[in-house]
Amino acid sequence: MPRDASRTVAARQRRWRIGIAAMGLLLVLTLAGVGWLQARQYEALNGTRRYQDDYLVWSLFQFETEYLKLRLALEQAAGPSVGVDPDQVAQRYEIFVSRLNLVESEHAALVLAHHPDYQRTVARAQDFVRWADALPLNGALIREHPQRIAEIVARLEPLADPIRDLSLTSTHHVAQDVTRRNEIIRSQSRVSLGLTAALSAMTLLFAAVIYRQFRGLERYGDKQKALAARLNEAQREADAANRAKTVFLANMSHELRTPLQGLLGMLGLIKEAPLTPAQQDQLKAANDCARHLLAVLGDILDVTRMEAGGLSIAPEPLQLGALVRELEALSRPQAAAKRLALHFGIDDDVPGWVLADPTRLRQILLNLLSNALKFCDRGQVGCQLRRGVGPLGEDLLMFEVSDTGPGIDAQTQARLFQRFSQGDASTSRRHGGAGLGLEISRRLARAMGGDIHVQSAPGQGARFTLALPLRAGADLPPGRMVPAEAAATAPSSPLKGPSVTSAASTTSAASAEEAPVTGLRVLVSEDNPTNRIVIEAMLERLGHRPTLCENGLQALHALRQQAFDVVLMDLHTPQMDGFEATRRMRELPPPRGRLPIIAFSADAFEESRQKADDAGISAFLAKPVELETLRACLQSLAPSPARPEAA
Amino acid sequence: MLIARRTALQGLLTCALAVGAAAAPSVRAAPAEPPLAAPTGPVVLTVGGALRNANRDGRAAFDMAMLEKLPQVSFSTQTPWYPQPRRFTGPLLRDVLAAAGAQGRTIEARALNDYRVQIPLTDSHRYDVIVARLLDDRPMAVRDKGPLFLIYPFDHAPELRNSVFYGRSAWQLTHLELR
Repeated sequence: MPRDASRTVAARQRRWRIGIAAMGLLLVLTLAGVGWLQARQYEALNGTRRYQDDYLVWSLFQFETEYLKLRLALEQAAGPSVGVDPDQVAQRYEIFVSRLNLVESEHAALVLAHHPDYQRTVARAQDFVRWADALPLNGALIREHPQRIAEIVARLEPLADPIRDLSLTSTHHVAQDVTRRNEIIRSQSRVSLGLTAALSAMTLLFAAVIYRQFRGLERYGDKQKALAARLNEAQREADAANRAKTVFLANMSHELRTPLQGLLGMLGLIKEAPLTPAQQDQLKAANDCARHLLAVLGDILDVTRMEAGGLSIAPEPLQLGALVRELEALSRPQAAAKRLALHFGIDDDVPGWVLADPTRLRQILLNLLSNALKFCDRGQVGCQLRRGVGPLGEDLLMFEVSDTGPGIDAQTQARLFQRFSQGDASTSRRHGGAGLGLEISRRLARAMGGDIHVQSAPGQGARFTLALPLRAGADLPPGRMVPAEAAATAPSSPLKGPSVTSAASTTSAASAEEAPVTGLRVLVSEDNPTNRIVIEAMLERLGHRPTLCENGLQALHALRQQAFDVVLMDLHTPQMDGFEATRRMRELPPPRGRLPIIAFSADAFEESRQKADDAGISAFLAKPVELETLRACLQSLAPSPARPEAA
Repeated sequence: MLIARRTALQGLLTCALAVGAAAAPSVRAAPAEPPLAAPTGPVVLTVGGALRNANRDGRAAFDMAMLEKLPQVSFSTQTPWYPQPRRFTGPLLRDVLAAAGAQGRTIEARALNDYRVQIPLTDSHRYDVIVARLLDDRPMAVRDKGPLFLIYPFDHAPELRNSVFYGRSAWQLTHLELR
């Protein structure tokens, strides 16, 4: 059916083309005809022959007149009158001869050639002239031999009728000629009229064609507009559907994280119970599963966020040395467990400080490193920072993460960065993972203006290179940023919520050696009963004194009635959510209004964190909260040892 | 500096023009100063009507020798009267008229055969009309449309190639009447 339609369209187009070509050809022919006609008319007007045709009649008429004048002069000279000047008579003869010359001219001969009269008359006139010249006919002859005049007249007389006839003939001839010319002009005018009519018709036809084309274009434009409107509508619908999907995923993520929080918490609590070695292994397996689930959930959330356009890159001064140390510290336990060597290094020409988004950069590098550690079973895993030059001559910052693992074949490399793709089916089963990590990493790298490439061959290990545009930061970081050493030991400033989670985990070892904070009065707002139990158990384990509430409103009341050191606030609680409760708490008079408030939520979206920051929280913990994270966070936020007594 | 030079140049030009303008009439008037000499041979052309330099009976009469003395002009041109281009030689009509001290605006040319035609005087200035006395360097007999033939330079000016100017080319020319 569509093929038939396209065929008819093609046929119509061909017909159109032929029609247009035929019309063009017709137009050219008509115009050529007009041109030819006009050239003919111009020629007809231009020639000198026209003049000569008219002139011929005059000449012949004059010839007759001169003939008569000569005869009269001769007769007068022959007569008795005395007043005749013989020279005048002779001149008359000369003038007659000059007229004869004109009559016998080439042109006259041409025009009158087919008139036998002409030839005969001219011949007779010429005979007479020859005879008269032989006399010779001049003044002297007339004066001295007047008797000969009679003879001359006698010779002249028979010419009268032929000359008269010739004059008439030529008049008739020219009249015919004029009629014929008029006829030609009339017929040319007829043709010209026809051509003009044809031109007019063609002009009208063209106008009609153009009108039709315009109408077609208009219709086409309308159709396009309608199509664009439909597309817009479809786009809006698709956007709405996409938003709905995002909201659904956010809700799902919240719904999944909440029970996961309980699960991990409970597993953490069981770990302390006296268990047989077999039970401990089972517990560890259960714990690993739960963590893996959590990681997958995190990846899905990241992808959702990217698709919703909620991915934002916030570059800030970053010390590369500290970043590498942190990555090394995070990789060491896993490497040690698999007996892998770790090699971290920075080339000398790499600047100490750069402008980069620390959270996202860390995320990418951790993903690459965890992949390397996951797939490499022996040998070493390395991470090297180098300086490079891009194709356009721009400076690049290159992070090379290499391993001595099984390597990746070309076919697999081609789809390595695609969603839900993994090395292969067998490794997928062995190593797990949702296959979102590399896609997320590449998307993040591209959002930062860089990219990730892989070099590998089966059995040769793999080398992933993250290349970012090098934006050197100031050597001395601006005010808020403390020097590297200080940042490593006390990074969890309450001001920066999002970075607390990771920073706390890196510094836990260092700060744990300081005097552990215990005995804090902690107000907890948490609506999920399981999680309430988990939090309570965790806090008690850490040596604090928890007071539990079910929502923000209860927490607010509790805070008004008693003194607390720290508030743990679930952001999504019924009756009054954590945002509102935080705002209301901040309105309380100090010191209660200045208490550290730690928000924790399964909703890990950036907007929620931002909203919580705006409400006045001191730190943010993503659910599920782990014991160590909670401890580090409390440790950093706890009032100085003197404060509990003061409060 | 430049302006001064330009002014000086303009002054010079004006002077030159003034001198030229003053000289021109005198040059043109120069042959007219002595009254036109009387013809010695047979008269071939008479000029009558509005003129200053009459030499016989209130007319300016020319014999062939007088016409020969005026500056001669030659050109070949195609005419309706001959199949081939022919070479005509003779004094310019305007020189002949100047010699006669011609005035007026129209010339009536008359021929031996009683042919008459009106010619605007401006034609003699606009075109190099000649009073031809030689055809292909030979004198013309009466039977060869001579002895004088008024000829326009048809080959030099295409606008002349029409009946009006062919009609003004009078042959067997004998008299010019100024009005």
